[in-house]
Amino acid sequence: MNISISQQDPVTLVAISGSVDSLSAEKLTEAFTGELNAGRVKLVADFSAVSYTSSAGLRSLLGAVKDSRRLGGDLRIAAVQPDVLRVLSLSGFTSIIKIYDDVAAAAASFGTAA
Amino acid sequence: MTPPRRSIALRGPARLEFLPSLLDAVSELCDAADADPAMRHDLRLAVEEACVNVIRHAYSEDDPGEIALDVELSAWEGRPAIRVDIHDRGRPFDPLRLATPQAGTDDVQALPLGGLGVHLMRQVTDAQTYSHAKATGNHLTLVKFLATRKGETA
Repeated sequence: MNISISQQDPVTLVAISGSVDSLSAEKLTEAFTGELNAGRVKLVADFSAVSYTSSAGLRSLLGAVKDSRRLGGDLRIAAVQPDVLRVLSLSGFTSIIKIYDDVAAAAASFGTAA
Repeated sequence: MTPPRRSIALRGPARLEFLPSLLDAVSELCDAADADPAMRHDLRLAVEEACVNVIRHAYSEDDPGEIALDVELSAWEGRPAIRVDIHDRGRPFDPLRLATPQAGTDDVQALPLGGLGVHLMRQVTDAQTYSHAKATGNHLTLVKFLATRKGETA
């Protein structure tokens, strides 16, 4: 799994690629925590290149959603691939986390509803 | 040419570092079965969740024991399937008795961070059984009916 972070004011884009599993999820949690601790609380996770996630990845996402909302922001996800979307759906996460078709739509959502 | 393997048995330390080897075994058997991508995904997910459960909870941290995995092309209730058996000698624990976590609540902050793995494991497999015996320890069986890339849902 690789993570690349960039600022696209007013949001922080966290682009993830590969598998978010029990071996890699901690790295993702650290990335989210780093941004939140730095006061960047409007997060968009670009999932277009994420091929797989297990419950470890879901825990990382849920933790970041909780923490960001507590700080007045949110974590929103863009471009979720079918296998990953199914896992999010089976876990009930599609009703917890806001999911958008692409990064532009996820970023724009903060302009009006953050 | 070596014919595709119909079963793979693997035994090693119940540590996260061993997880890739366990998942590779599943992947290799999926190759042999010509399993379709959805089946590969679901088996990888189920086996990751089941094995991580053993790795994290079966043994005490300073005394990690073994995990054993058997994966085979098999039949279940008369239908072609891939069957995965996971054994450990840790503390008795039946994951199938865990309650399903309640997602979908309005109060995100109240949601627990754990418990999802077993739920997913059950959702993406067709049958699961658990048993425990003093002599042999925990034994979890996961079954997924075979769906091949040729589009045959067996």
